[in-house]
Amino acid sequence: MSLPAACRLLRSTLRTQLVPVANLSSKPAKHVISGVDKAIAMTAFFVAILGPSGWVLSHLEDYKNKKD
Amino acid sequence: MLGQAVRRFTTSAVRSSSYAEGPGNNLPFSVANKWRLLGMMVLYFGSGFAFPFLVVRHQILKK
Repeated sequence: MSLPAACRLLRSTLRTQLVPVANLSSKPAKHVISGVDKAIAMTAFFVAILGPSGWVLSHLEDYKNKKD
Repeated sequence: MLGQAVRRFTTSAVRSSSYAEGPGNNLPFSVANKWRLLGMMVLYFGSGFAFPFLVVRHQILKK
């Protein structure tokens, strides 16, 4: 694409105004989750996902040698 | 005006239905206790994610 055409496209996106069509509003969260709670939950999910798979992958050599 | 109509509809729907409605009540699991919910989600997603790795381990150990 030529440079003047690219500039025209970029300028038209910068000129376009985004107008919200729906009248939406929201309130702050009803349930408070503290930083400690978030840390516990994130740790739990990380361990749940990475734990079993990491254990299996780190013992692959053992499994391969055990069968021989 | 639309808000009033929606409120009338939800009031009549709650009175006629025997099920609990609203956030957290249209799910097949309970979200009342956040720690029990965390445990259920860890078991659900953890078991699904670990299953292929355990299958690989089983296959390598088999032959």
